[in-house]
Amino acid sequence: MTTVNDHPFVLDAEAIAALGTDPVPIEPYISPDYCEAERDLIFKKTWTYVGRVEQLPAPGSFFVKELPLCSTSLIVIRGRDGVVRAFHNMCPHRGNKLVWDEAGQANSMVCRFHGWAFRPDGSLSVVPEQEIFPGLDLAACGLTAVATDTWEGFIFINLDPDLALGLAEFLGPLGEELGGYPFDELTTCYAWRAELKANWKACLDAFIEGYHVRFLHRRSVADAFEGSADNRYCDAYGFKLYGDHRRLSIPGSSSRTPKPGEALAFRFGRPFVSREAGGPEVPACLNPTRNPSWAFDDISLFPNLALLLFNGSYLTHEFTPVSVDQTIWEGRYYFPPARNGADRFAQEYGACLLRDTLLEDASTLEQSQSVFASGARSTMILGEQEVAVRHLHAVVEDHVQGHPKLGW
Amino acid sequence: MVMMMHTPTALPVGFADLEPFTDEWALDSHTARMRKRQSSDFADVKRFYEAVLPRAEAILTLLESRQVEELVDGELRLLFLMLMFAEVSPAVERFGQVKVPYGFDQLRFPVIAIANMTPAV
Repeated sequence: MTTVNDHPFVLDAEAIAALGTDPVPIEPYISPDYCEAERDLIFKKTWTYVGRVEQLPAPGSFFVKELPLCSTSLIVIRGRDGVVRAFHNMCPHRGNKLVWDEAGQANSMVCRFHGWAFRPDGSLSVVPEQEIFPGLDLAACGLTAVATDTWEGFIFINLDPDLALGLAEFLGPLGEELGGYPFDELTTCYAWRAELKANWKACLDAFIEGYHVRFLHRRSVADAFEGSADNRYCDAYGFKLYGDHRRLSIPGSSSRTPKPGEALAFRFGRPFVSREAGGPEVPACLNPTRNPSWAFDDISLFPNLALLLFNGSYLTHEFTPVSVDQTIWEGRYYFPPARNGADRFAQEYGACLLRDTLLEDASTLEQSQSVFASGARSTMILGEQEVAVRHLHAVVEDHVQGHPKLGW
Repeated sequence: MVMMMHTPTALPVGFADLEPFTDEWALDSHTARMRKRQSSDFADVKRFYEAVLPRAEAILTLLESRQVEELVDGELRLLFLMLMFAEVSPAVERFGQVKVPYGFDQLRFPVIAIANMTPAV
């Protein structure tokens, strides 16, 4: 395949050809040993997205991020100096989990066991009955910091104390290319969370190919992602690899007739599937091939974040591994604050339709995992439209084998 | 004879025909609306959708002239009716049943609040 609806199928043919066409092994989805290697060589080594800066509006604003595969919990908190930091959520005194709330506002974090208190910058401020700890060096008993940095308002952490590369270097050219997207205007969101009995890669796979849309979403939104009036398929195009990350474009049809409720949402606001999506007002950082039949760009940031950028709204899908066959999925839909009551309806229409579509997406994940280990097949077959899945597996394998492509 | 008073639940003038639906369907949270759809018979969901659809343009024209924060009483209830309409629309317009056919269990995929980001209404 070289073109899709007259638009280039791939933007870096050589890199994509190098991935080959062989079936890919199922072992990485079911092997506890493979999952342990992923934990040690990926999730304890690379930058990982944990949340948005809007969640931390003021000094002392915090949220807690659980990272069960890595046996830790992080406190992500804005300091009195405005800086966002992350710490292991563990009291240095007796190892108790320090913060039990999911999110909140705190001038001081106080351990529920013995009352040791910490400032938002992680330093130890109060030890009750300090005299029973003769010679205690308070300065050496702060919370254990974790490398933290932000890109376009996305907060990333890195558990590796010997950081191999900074966040900007990790994101590389892809991070630079997406710089013009108005993330800072899309400050409202809906979020959903599920615990899935499925491997994290199987979950992410479902969000980085458009081949399933024509069938799995045939009752819900398939007609919105047709390539054109002539092409009834959601064939993605503009595939490009960026080291460990990847990007592709998903077509959108402006020729279809919307359902009655959807027509009202389009008229009074902008639900997530925009009808004039491929138009000239699309930010230059999106739709790199300038296809008039465009719906959104589908980006995956290694290891576990899918970022679906529409014109005027975006989605994130974050797949946090728990074990080889358990994953916490958090999906979020970001949009601008409602301009008026009717716009609020359009947002809700988009959110409800999106959620129902996600219930279709999620439907196959546990079913697949339940038979992966049957032994009936040791590989799965991937088509050209599933090249991003192939790339994900290739880069995970590179890391697990100990030769990741670091930097640019 | 005592004059009929508008109760706080009354819809604005001109929308009295939707009054019979407010107690059951004008719900004030995404989770409550999701549960209402999930626990209702499809025939009731469809009846609600079909009652609101021909009135939706008039409702939205009114709501378009108001900030969400300034909506109170009957006007706020109209917004809740429209948000419920958004909730049931996929069921009526696309699935022909309450639940997503062969879909992941909605109750295992709850909406969660994100501090400072989830819409207040």
